Amino acid sequence: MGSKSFSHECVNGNCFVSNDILLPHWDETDRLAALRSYRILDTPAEPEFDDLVQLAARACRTPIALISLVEDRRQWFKAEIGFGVRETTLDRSICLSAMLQPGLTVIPSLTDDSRFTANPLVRDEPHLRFYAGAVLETPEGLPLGALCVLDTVPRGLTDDQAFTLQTLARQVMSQMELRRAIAERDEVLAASRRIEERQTLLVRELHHRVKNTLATVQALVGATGRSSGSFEEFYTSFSNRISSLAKTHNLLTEDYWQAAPLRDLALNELKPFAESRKPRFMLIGPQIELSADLAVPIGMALHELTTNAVRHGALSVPDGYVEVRWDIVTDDSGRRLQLEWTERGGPPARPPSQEGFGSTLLRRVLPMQINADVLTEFDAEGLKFRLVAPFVDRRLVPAY
Amino acid sequence: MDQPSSKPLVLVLEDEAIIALNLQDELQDSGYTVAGPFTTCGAAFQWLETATPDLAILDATLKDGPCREIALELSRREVPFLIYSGHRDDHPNLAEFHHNVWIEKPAAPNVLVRACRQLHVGCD
Repeated sequence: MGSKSFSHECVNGNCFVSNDILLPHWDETDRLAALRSYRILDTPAEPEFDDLVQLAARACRTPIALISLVEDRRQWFKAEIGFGVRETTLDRSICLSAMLQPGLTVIPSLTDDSRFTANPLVRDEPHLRFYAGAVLETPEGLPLGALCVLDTVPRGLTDDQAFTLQTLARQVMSQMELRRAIAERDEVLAASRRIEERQTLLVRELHHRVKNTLATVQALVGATGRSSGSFEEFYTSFSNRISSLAKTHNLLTEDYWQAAPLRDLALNELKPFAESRKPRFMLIGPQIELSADLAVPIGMALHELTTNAVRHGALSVPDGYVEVRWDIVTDDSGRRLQLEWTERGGPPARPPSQEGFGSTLLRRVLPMQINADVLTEFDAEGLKFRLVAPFVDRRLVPAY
Repeated sequence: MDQPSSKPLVLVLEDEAIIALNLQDELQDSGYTVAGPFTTCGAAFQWLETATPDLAILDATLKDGPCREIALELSRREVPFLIYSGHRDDHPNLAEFHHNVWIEKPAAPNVLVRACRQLHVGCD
């Protein structure tokens, strides 16, 4: 420690701390970061630190002893005896000067030191006259403040007192190191608990999603079966529905937040038409991430709409195209997702002769599943489908 | 809420729309009249204010919470019901209904229909 360099003459007497500034090997930002890393500022009094100031005051026979930590605009006392306040502004700080000296700083008469004559604590109440402070230094050599003793009469310290004060200062640092280690350990523990929680959430969500998906697939078998004329037709429609669902789940799982971009959901379906020399589709809307609750039904709706367009609508002829527009609007009842599917350039749209799964999905499933208002229009220019649903931004996993 | 006396009335509480609608189709094909399907306990309660079903199929967890209150109300009215859900261990707050019929999702439609017939004997 730097305290070893403290010279004997200073202990007994008239050696004032000189004005030659020791060029610090640290900078203030690092020093403040180190101080804050102990997470000690503004914590309540603790007996471990109170005992150390008691001991310092008793050993040095002074009425006042402080553990002073110097922050950017104040000095704060982790423990104090005989002083009565927990902090002061820096213009009243003697430790600020002491801290910049290695080891022990003794100022036998504050009124004889030009640096302190104007200090309100010296000039006015409580008329401090004597100061001795041992720097509190991190293992990296950053000074945080001082363990100091003060008196209202000029005096000095004996060798034993000087030795004790420096030893106690090291004890203060040991206590601070210990509490920092505990705080860091607690943080690591808390972080690993959070990771565990996220893992549990994800496993539960996965379990839930698998069960739901299987039940949905089973219902799809029934629904597709009821609206298919032949086994081949059933097999093709059913397989395509399953791969569309799988693609939605890919998007959800790839994302940290377990959300899927609406644009990518649409692209999953329309990608086969991206290669065409003439543009066959337009996707117009802001970046929106859908949680599984919305992504799965909307992905299915986009699949049914695309399938229908390929078989009967705008994508069944070379010149037809599809425009998908979306937005988030806010009204009295909160945020709402608007999605519009418009087909142009294809044959006139006609209502289906019998309701298949596609129209069931659009007409009955979406209102029930996501409280959507839906509107299907069979225009001469092509099919138009419009959906407005509450936009739930449910985040499954917490942010770290 | 007039119900044809020949067809038993089954309340369906299920918040996955595709599952609910398929269940409705299967039940109707098997000679039941369906009340619902309801996707929230709130909606089912509202319906129960003016009517009582012959039996019920309840999903364990709905968008507005577990089906516990609905199950208690049905028990009070001595309406038989089955719970159609994931594993029963997932639902500690439904422990008091573990002696009821639990059918794990997904189940084949005929399994559900058979269970309904056993709950409400004499509907054929």
